[in-house]
Amino acid sequence: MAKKRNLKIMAIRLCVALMLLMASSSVVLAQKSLDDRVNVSLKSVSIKTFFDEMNRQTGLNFICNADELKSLPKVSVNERSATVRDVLDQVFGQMGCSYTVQGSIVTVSRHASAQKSRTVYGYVKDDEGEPLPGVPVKVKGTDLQTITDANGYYRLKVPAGECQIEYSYIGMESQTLKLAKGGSDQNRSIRLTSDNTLNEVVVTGYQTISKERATGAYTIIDKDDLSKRHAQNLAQALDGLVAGMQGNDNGRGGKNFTIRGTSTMNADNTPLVVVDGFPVTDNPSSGADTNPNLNALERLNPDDIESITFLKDAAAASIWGARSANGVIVITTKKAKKDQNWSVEASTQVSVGEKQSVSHLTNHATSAQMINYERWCFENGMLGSQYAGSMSSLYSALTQSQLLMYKGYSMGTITKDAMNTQLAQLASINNASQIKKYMLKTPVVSQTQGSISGSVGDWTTRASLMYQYDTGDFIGSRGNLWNIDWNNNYKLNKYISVTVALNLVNSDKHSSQIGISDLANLSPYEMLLNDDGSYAQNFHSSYNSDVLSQFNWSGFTYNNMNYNLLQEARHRRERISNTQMRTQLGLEFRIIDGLKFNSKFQYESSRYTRKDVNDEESFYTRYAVNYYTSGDGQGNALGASAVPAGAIVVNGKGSGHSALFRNDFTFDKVLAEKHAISAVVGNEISNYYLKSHTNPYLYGVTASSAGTVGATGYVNTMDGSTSTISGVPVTGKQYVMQSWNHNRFVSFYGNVSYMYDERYGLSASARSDASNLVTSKPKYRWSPLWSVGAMWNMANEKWMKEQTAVNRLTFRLTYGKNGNAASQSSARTTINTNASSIDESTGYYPGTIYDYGNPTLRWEKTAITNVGIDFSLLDNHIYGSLDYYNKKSTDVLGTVSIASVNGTSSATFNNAELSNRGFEASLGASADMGDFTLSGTLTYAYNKNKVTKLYTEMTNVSDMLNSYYIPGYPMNSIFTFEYAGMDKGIPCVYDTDGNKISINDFSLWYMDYHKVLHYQGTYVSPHTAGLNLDLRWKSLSLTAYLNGRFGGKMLMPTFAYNYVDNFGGKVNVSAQVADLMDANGKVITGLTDNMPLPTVDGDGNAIQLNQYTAWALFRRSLDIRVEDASYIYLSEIDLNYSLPANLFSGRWIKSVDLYGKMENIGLLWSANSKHYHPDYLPGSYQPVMTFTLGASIKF
Amino acid sequence: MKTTIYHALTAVALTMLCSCNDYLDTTPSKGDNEVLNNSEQVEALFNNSDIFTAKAVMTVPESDDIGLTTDMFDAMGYAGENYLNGLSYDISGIENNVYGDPIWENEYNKVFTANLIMNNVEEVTDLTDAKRTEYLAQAHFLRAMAMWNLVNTYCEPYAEANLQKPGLPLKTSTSYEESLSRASLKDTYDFILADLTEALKTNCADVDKRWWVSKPAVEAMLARFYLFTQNYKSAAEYAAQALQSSATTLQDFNELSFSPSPLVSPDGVADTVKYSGLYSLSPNEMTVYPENYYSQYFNVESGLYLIPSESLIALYDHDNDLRYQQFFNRNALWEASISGFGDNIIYHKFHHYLNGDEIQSGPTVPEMLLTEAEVLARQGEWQSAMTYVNKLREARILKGAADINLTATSQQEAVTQILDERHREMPFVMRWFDIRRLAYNETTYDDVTVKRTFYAVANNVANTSVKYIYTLPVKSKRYAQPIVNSEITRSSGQIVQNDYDDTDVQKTAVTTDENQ
Repeated sequence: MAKKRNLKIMAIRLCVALMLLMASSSVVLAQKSLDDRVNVSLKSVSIKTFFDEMNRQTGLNFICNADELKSLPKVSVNERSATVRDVLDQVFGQMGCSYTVQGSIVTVSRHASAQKSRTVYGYVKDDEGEPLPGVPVKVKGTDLQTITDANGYYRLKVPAGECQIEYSYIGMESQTLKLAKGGSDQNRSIRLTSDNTLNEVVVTGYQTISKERATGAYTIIDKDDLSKRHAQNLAQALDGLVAGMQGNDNGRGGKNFTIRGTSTMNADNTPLVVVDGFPVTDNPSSGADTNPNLNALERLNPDDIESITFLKDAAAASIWGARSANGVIVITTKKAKKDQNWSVEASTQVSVGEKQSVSHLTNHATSAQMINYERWCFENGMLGSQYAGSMSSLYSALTQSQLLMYKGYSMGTITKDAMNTQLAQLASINNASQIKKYMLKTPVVSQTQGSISGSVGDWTTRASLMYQYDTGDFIGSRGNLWNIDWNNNYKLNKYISVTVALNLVNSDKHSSQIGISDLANLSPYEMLLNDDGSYAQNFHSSYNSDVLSQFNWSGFTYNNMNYNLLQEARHRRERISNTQMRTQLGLEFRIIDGLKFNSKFQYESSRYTRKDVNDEESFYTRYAVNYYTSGDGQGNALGASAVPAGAIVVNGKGSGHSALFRNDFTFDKVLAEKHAISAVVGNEISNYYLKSHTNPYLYGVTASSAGTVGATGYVNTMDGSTSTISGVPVTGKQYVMQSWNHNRFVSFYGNVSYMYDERYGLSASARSDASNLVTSKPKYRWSPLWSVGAMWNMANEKWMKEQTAVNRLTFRLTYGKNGNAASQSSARTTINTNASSIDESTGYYPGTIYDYGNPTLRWEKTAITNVGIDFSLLDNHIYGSLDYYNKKSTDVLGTVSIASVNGTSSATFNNAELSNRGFEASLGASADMGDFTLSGTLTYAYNKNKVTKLYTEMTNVSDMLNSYYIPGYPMNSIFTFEYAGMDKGIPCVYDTDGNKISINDFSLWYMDYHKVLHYQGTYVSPHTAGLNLDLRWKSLSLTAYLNGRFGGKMLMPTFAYNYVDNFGGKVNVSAQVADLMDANGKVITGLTDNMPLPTVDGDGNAIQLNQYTAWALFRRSLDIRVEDASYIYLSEIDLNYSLPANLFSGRWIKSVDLYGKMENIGLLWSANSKHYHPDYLPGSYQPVMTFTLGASIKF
Repeated sequence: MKTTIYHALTAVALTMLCSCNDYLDTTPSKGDNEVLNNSEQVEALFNNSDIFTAKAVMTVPESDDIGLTTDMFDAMGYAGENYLNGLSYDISGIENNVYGDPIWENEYNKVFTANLIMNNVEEVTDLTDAKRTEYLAQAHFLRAMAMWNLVNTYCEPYAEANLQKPGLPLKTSTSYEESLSRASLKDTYDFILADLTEALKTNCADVDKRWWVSKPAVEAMLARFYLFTQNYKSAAEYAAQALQSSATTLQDFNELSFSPSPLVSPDGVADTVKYSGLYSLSPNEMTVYPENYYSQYFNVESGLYLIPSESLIALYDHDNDLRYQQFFNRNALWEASISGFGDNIIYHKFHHYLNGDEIQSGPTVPEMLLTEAEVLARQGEWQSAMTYVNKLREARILKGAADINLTATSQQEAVTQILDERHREMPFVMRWFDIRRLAYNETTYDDVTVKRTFYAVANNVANTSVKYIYTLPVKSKRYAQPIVNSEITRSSGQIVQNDYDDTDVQKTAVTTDENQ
């Protein structure tokens, strides 16, 4: 990864500044030196020796044709205190040579040869149009050469014959100019483009410095790394590329990233995203603010990205202040270059994936296994209370097989024979193929994009357009995404340039309101369609279908109350549309050399609408309309429904805007050649506003009616009781739900870095933030955040220059404090008066205390120490970096136990502490073997976190089993009991003294947890690794991406030990029943790695129902469930082929690339016994294998 | 040009620095998270039933009214730790309960809300003098009610000898920094009296919304306060004043109907159980129940069945006392999956459809009649005292029954008769508070020694192989329920535990013979 790095525009400017200084000082030196006095005493030496001696004394360089050099006579000169000019005149005069001085270059030529020559002159500029001073310009095969002056101007005498002129410069791609035979002088201006292979530049968002000078810990991903992957979104493209950054699925195709572990409990834990110098609004990921807006990374088109820098430590991130504790992702977008020819790029790709696996989604037992288990429950009294939860209750949902058994065993309304026949029939059905056919889709994603960039005079512009269509993988789902980006720069004059950028994203997502949980509620024998194509009857998950069927529906609005999942999926849909816009305006004033003033303004806006439609064909709507009908509770209607027939539509809306104004001075200058100073000081002020609401539900929506809002107050319902109508706002309110958020920040910041002789560097930064989230007490409101850093480029030491094995060796050390805003807490007690329903005792809307108050509310702070080494060895064939960090977070908002005399037994105070320690390594290597190039990068990260302080009483066994944060342990720890096998038919656990304790012994829950619980590790793997391997042959390349996680623990799926009841919801049986019961329905005995199903207790009595309850309680808390979660996953293989350039030489086309890739290929290795991917256990979505084909073309 | 820029920037920076704090004073969000500053919020807090519903966890099983036998316990298979600890007067189990103490937490939560309003009332933007008076009176009343329940649960009873013993932490603000030390019992009672005196300033002359403060409600609480502090003269005055309320009336139980419900026993026997008409009242109907001066109910934790003791059952005239017929529901224990014990009686009076059984805890008309009767009798006017008792009995005994009226021939008999009637009218929690009070008042003939047979209880679990006869002697220090240790730890030791010794609860092992 370290190999290919971008040279940033800013870096070029820096180099330019540096070279300008050097060049101008040389000119001064040269002019002075011609009149300087020298002492030269040489006797019969070669002209070369004379040149060397003069160079030593004056710094002048001599250029002379190699052939001429050999033919020149020996030199003898003896002058004391003579001017340089005199010496040169004397020596060259004797030889019959003439010379010219240009800067520090003295070009010597023989009069006599009088070769026919001509002059080439012109400017050398960079791809931004900035002049490049000090560029060697050379005639190939000769010693004829010169360098450009401070303005990038050069003038060189070249032979009149055919020749090639070479322009080469560090950090730029060399160019060769072919000159045909001719005698006339020629004006040739050259533009050199940056060469990505050598220079690495760190963009911190507020300044750009070369990696050679960066003290902090950074990882840089450039456009090549990204473009190779052809990812549909940025999050996908970044996953696994950055050591120390972990991504977890965010449930909509993207990832939520954390950098270097979690350093907060209650505040936001996502990294700050900065685009072109502006922190952009991210989508609140949790809490009341959750909205369907796309988050910052989702709003970026991967093709628009020039480079991404990940700031991981204090020096790197502290400048971003109070929102940087979670790391900062700094993104630079592509921009057009000055004087660049217009260029157009276009690409298109299509991805096709497999369908989701039905058995993995539902994790159901087979129909026969399910019925066997239910039957066993019935026969052994493992049946919920028969008498208490009446079968006649509408709200006691059952499976179809359970109903048959209730009828056969408990109620006797059908004969055992009839029951057995019908059960046998159900046992033979499997609905998986119908689900696959009707509910699941083959996911296809197509993406097309184009961009154009170029310049007209001082105006440069780049525009891109991306369109993506996604069919989704579930019935009713599909999505569109448009992304438009337009970036302009206009150089007003020498001092002022203006940047205007615009980004517009529009996305539209459709889904049925049916999801995987609904699918899991379908018993494995419940078909979607009957043989004749009509909708089969399914058993509802919340209502007793038998009771439903006994209602006399003829008196109700809807007479057919058949429930069917497919019908539901086809007639209930949701559409979420959002539009998000970002505009950026930047002004850059060059005040004096090296000093600039930047003024930047950003405005963002977002809007979304959400529309849920429930057609009257859906059970949801039919049930709702019938429910609000006055009934006698015996199944008969007594009147009309309080709501009209027709669809039920729910609309919601949200909008937000933010403004950010940022002003700073930057100073970049190299003084006296060796002292490089880079500094920034500035201020930022921002304002974020977000509001959303849900409109009242519309009932009776038809082709001719827009629908009506339900009546307020209570209405009679079909079960003989009263209820309020769903989605009717409380009296006096316009909306069903409404909220808004308003956040403001003010910051001051400064940063300075100093580099001596490209060898020793120091950096320091300071920043202070305040926000309206935090208290009004200034003592707590402002955050003092700062950092210091030092570095040493050992490879630049003179004594290292001799050797060639080490190309680069840099040591870095930083320390500093970052912050995190605490938006989830309030300094004062706050009240919630937004209750959604009345208090039934008083008949009024109740107020509640929302936050008891945290009077000492302040910023969370994270102190980070980072030690790092960057290296590059053996002619840059091996390269990498190592980093060790120690993050200590203090004043972390933690939920702590306090005396309840204070009104509450727990409060959120700034007094918790967390620590994250870790190590990161990135190692790359490349080798050329003829036309083959093999390269690879391995990233490895280790993170160990710990809750170091949190005042909470954790002596409670159930807290230890259920808490995320436990003092003295890593976050997300797993605790288990030690399984002791069965005793008298009851599972037991050991205490630390080795005593067996029955899981039915309630005192277990009151014991000191040390006596019964064992720490097993964490769900989050401490070791993560990523590997990408790249094999190239000519213009064909093959890249494979692997990732692995090691050292984490997982809980293996277990059987739910659910007894069959008729309380609450319908319960299906999970596939893990097969571990406990054989195909004939016989309980497997003698299990040691599992709790067996209960048979009889030690006295030979049947196990009571209330004893079996504990099985379910303990199933996930036994050590036998814990396994190693390590795995290695082959996530992607990319194949790229660039068509040979000679195919379109002389045409408009510059290049054509064809590519294909495979994603989510599978686990290469996993430590767990069932070969599960620990992140995608049965009962969940899993990433499916996807194939992509695409092509891109450049003009 | 440069100068202009510098000037502009300096101006911008200065303006920003000055206006920063104004700029940052914006409320971060609305709707769910606002500082208290308007009357709508104050009233919404008062309209939340959490502010007037109380918990009764340990106080239910502690009196002699609970009759959970070991046989029943065997049939149930399990009882919650609060039930077990209450029945056995356990100390260490309560102290070590890592799950906290709902009574303590709930009542101090009310104290917080009351303090919040008292502290912030001046910041209410739409405050009027009438509102200020009303909010402050309500807040003081809420705090007095909470502290009353606390002092009767965790502290030893009011008596001259106990006045310097530990009372309660007296919180008057929402600050976490305020001292949490326990004041003396005297200071605690003075604190409650001061709150009630402040609450008496209410503008609400008669009971209106029954969950809000009103003059009669405060007077009734003052009557209760003075009865429990043996100031009979003041108790008589305030009870009489409270009884002037025209909005509060006796409910004639003769007018109550039954609410029948079909139930099946665990053995499959079907019966229709007759619940009280009060049992089916909605939460709102419970709140407006006309006998209540202030509608505070004790919520009986689920699983804490009000299984009446034989002594309680024997107290009623089974044929004529409508309280027995209405609230002692035959075969209703089946609902708890228990059967086979005599009539399977369980006590149900009020019932919140979500929270379960509820027992009146706020002052009521019957309580005031009984208070007036008791204090008159204790002051020697025992004959006129009986008229108050009999007024209550008219509403409680079957119309036309022979012995509606109670009579007495001596002061002691009158007091005993009145106390029995009080016991019948307010069993369980008020009975427990009365047992505490009666032990310390001026008479000894009314003292109660509680005795029951139950399993040994340790670590919140019953040991079914050991049975004890538990005896709670008169003036036992275990009248005060221990405070959970976690609360003491969290207060950094500011809160101290009650003082207990071995004589507080006497345990006699039951021999195997008795066991069978």
